[in-house]
Amino acid sequence: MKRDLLYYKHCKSVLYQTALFNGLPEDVLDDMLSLFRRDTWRRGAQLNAEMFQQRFYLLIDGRVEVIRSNPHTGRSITLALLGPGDGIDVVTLLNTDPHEIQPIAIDDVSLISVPIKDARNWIDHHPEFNRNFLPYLGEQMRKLEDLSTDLALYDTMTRLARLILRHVIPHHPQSNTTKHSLKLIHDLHDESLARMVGSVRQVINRHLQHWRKQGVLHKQNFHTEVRELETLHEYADDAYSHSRGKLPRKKTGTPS
Amino acid sequence: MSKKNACVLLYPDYQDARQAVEKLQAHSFNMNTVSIIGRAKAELQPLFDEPADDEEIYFQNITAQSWKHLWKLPGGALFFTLADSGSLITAGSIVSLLTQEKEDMDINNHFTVLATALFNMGVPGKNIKQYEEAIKAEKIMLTINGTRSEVEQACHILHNETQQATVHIA
Repeated sequence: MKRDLLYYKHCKSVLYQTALFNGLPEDVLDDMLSLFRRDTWRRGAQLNAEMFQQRFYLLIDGRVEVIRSNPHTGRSITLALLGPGDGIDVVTLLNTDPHEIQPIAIDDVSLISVPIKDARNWIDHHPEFNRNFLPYLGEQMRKLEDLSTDLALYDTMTRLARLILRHVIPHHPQSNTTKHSLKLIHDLHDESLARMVGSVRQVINRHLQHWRKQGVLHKQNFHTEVRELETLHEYADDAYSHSRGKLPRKKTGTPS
Repeated sequence: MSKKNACVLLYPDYQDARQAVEKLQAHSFNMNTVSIIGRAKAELQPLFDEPADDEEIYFQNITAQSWKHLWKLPGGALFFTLADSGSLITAGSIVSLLTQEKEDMDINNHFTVLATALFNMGVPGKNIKQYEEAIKAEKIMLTINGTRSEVEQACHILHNETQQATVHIA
């Protein structure tokens, strides 16, 4: 990418705020960006897996849902919901095996991309990038671990509560507000949320309505926020509360 | 296969755009996918060092002179005027998108005819605005609108560190 473009500066400012690039020396980031080109995907665009065997894509603006489907049943599971600064299908940087995924643009999406072989060469020549890259990969693995654990061990309501809690934006320590905004999932349809927890739209809709009636969640202008975080923690079951040092409480009025 | 894939490049002048077209031709690229869009300038310049007898030959519109090589692009050429952008010249496959009926428009009606054509190529609304601004600032826009592999091939040929290509997929 040319350095004089306004978009170049925007990319740098977005990337510096992300786990993958935060703290990276400017000359290293400039060197990396010089290899990239600019891409956009319109909202709803479904990309085929082959693209990701040839190029590595980094999200700059918008969200991408990475799903895997069963062509016989039509059922889908969301493997990842990616936002600005995330790499799409980072596994392709590690090995060359075909990877069965289907990314879908949830918004109009801006990205930058580079041929996979150039990305691998660049990582080989910049071992300092691994200080960010390896923890980022670890984080992605943990998310998949959370997904498989949730699917195997918890009921749908617990899975949904845990999903929402994972996307709560932490408050500033001195903030007194009881409203908790959500990142990435704040305006998703029930269908998309269902794909993220391995359920169906009708079940998710029932649980969300129940929480709205209880005042746990609040939805306005297609924008959901959490109003009672502690109650949601209770629904998220013991494991989630323990992992964050909170005591589990008894659930009340849970719908069947 | 969907044709809502586009590779877009902006060039500072006609000469650079023409060289890019020649580069694509040299690679036996499918020229049916290529379009050029630019602003029609009104300046006149002398064609020869010495004045000729016939002033009509001596002075020629600078745009027409530059564009004569680009008229040959498949799809034809079109001269039209937009209220905001002024007079524009286009050549190539975009001409059919500019002249087709707009019954299937799925975007807001305040889009210009050029914006509608770009939208139908797969360019998102936010970028259309930027491209219209660039054309207004006398940049020359080269687009390749075809299958995903054609777009990738064009981008591979034309994109480099000094010439930015953008790929749009819809």
